Amino acid sequence: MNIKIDFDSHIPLYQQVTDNIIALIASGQLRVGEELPSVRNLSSRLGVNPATIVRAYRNLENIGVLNTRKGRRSKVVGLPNGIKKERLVELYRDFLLEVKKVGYTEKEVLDTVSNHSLNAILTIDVGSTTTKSILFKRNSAGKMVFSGFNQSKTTVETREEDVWVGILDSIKGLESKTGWKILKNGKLLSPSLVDSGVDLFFATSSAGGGLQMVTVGLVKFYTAESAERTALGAGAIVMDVFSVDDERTTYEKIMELKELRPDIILLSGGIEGGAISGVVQLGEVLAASEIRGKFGDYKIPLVYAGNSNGREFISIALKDRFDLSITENIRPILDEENLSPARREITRIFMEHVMKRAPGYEKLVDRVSSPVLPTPGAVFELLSKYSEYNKKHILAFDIGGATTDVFSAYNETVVRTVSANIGMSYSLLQTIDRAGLKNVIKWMPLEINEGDLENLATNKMISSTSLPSNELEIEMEIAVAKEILKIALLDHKKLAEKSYEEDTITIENLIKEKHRKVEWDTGRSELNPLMIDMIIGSGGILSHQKRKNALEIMIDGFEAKGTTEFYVDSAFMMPHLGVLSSVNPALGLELFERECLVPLATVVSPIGRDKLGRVAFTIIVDNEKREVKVGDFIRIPLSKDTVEIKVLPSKRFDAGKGKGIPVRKVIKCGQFGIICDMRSKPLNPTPEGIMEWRKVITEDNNGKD
Amino acid sequence: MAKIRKKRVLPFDGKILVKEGDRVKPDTIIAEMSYLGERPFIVDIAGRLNIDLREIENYLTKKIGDYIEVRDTIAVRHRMAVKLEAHSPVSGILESISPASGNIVIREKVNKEEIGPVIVNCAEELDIPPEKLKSLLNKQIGDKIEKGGVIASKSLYAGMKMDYCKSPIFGEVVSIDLKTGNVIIKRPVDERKMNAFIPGIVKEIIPKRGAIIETEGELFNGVFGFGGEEYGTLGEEIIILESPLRRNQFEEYKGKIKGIITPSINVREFGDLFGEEIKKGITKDNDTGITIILMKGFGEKKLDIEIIKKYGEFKGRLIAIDGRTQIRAGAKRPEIIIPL
Repeated sequence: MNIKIDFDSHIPLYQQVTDNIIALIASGQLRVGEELPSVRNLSSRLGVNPATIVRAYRNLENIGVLNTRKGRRSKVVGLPNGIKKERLVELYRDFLLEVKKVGYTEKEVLDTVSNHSLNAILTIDVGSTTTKSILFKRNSAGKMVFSGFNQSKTTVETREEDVWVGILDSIKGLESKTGWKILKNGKLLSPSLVDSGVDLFFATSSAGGGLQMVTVGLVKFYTAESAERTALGAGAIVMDVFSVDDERTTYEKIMELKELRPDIILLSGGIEGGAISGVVQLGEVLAASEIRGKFGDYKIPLVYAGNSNGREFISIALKDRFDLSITENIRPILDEENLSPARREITRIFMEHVMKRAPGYEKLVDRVSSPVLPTPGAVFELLSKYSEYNKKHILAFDIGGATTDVFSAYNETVVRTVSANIGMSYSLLQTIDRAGLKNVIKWMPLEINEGDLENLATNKMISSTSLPSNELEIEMEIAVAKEILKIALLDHKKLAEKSYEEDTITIENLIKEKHRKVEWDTGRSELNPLMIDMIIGSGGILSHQKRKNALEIMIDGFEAKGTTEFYVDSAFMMPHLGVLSSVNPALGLELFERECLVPLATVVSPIGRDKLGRVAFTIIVDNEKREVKVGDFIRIPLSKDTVEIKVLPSKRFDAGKGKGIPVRKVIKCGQFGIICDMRSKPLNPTPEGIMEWRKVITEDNNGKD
Repeated sequence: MAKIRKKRVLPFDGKILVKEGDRVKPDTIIAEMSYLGERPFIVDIAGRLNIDLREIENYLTKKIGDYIEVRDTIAVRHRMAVKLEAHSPVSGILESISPASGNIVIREKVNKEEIGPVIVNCAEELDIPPEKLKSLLNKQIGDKIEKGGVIASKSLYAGMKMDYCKSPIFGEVVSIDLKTGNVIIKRPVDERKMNAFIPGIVKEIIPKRGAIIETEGELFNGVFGFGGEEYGTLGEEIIILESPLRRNQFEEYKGKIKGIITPSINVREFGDLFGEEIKKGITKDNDTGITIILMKGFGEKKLDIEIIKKYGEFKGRLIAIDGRTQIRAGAKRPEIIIPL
């Protein structure tokens, strides 16, 4: 029995003996049932007073580690769980001190440990139309890789009314595709073994219309807007925003609140140290509204994230009517936002309350390894981390069935907007309404009249889970998707530009606010399109359409400027990796780059004006020069993985650094290489023009589309 | 053939008129309610008495749960020789007191006499011939009016004084008779009766709200529908078409039948009637008087052979249909029930 005593230590001798014995049991050097040396024997060996050993043994008896009977030597009983854990924590702290001495951070330690102990991870995203499952497995080289993907119908309709049915279907399909057994008798196998099971199970959800919230703030311009951003950042659809100055009377507010059926309410208002009467009054309006939940008679969750002085009164006014939780002020001072605590609270409530009520969700919630995130919330997490770690400006979008999300990670600010009622299935008709029938038809190189388009679109809307089955339906989808991108980008710019500015109240900023103009095409807006490094597309439409169609949708929909790399997340991995990255950022981001992002092409499109046919810029790729003229739409196929390009714009054109200034970049080549797009913008397509552009994208592409 | 259960519930508490085991017909009323919509009134006590917000409880003359009559004194403050009072704007129950905002909330309590209808003869009250009433009216049919609100007013002595005809209750002006000078005011009350909709047995009572009715028969779902619940004879009051319903056909059927089951319609033909509902993917009861159920969708579609055969089998029988549809999550498709 190897016990070490440090007579110079400040730790009492009896405690050192106690700790040593625990360590020996924990490491297996002392086994259960083994007898310890007698008091006299041990005290003599260690050179300590017998009373020291008696005290140590008595301590260990008191906590159940040893058992001593009269006339017999003490025997090892074992380590209670609490002791084991405490010991583990102590060991971990010592280990951490040592690794920090040689330059590692705790994060690096945790990432390394977790990477090497995981074998298989299952992720699920329950969307409004489809439930998608992905399996990641460690390969023979020790790398965690994408192993398989499957999607099945989300089962929220009347007959099934149980989301878990769709989830099981999706997983069973995944088992067939990957040959990896994940379920046994309808239950998840965990942890993983040689040929089956998973170590972690994550989920995101946007089914059932997703998370729907009402936000209430004191003043429209400040706290109400911060509340709206908080809700959007948490992945919610904001049904309405109320404030004291929103031009509705108290009675009107009450009546309108009565009509709504939110999942969660966010109440905020008042800077720290300020008056509380306003926000408490808002609380009373909420109490008087008798607002009811979506799924029946229960207290709706309400998050109070306002002036902390108001907490007591809000609690008195609201705790009997709402399921109240309190978190930090989202606007503690006027020019500072603190949105994360409230965002996290919303996410927690989403999982615990909202999702549990939707039919079948409780089965999901009980099985996941970490909280279920609203799908857009997970994507938000992923993109903000990726942008931060890689110092890139990113624009990402997800075209859903009911809504379209746009994320921009730009200048260390991540903004998410939801274009509600803009989507490919449930919201299809409202989308076409907003875009205009003519604007959809112009993108379709087929004969179709407005009446037929209306019927076609309506049938798509009422059978949201079906995929396009003929050329007409495919063309309609492509056309609508382009218009969706235009609408969603416009919505995004409006909110994004407010976030990027410093939120200080000066006369200058107020004037700027009034005269702020969005000028996307000339690159003068705050969200500078020339600076966007990557555009990432996601959503059902991009996954079931061919890659060439996905690229066409993105290029025509965005009309990107400068030099921009286009990617798709064709396996819907972003939400899955988002929730993984919230638990293990290194692994999540590594998989994002390696397994998720499918590079399509780099589009080079400097901003400027000149006559048709004049040289806009010269591009040098692999020492080969090529002139691109105004009006050109050409493709440079590439067979490498990455390549360095140099763009030499003519003096009238700006490729990102100023007019006439060359730009050098290393880019990912992607399936379609480089597209030089000097078509006249905004695009005015004709059926012949569309066919010509498509030919450019697919010609000489070795049959890949 | 299968067992079919329909849950029949009122939106608010009401009275149940059946019991478990009762045999019912589609038109049997199983529950009814009268919802008064009693409103909350927020009163700014601190402002009225010019006191600190947190002190309002010291000045209130009522406590939570007390019944208060309209114009009752609810708070008093004596300041030197001046007495400041706050009065209740409504009869009701004191529901809450908030020292944080200085407000109280009084929940209106409606007595039977305040439901109406009440008849106010404004011509007599203003001492004018009835035909002169029109130009003096402050309210029109359909307008809401508070208790004590002015229905009509007359100026006296070149505007030096006004004479008023006021409403004795809160409600809606439902009629103005310029021959007699009578104005009728009634409180809007949501009165509903819930019928069984299908013939069957009352299987379970849902206290204060309704019941579950069970029957045996065939159940079909359409893909989209318009209009609410209807029942009648298949082939007479509710018909099935084998080809798309045209707008001119629909206009001819109006007032003659209750429901149409068709493979499809063209959006453009019915845009003015149903355009908004189609866009949102949510439909409800409408005033066309006909419930339409689409079995295939929109455009030029034909009915499935199976449905055509069923029609032949069940023609002449009772059929119950519900056209209400909701496409988004918690989706609901239109229903067709043929009890057997």
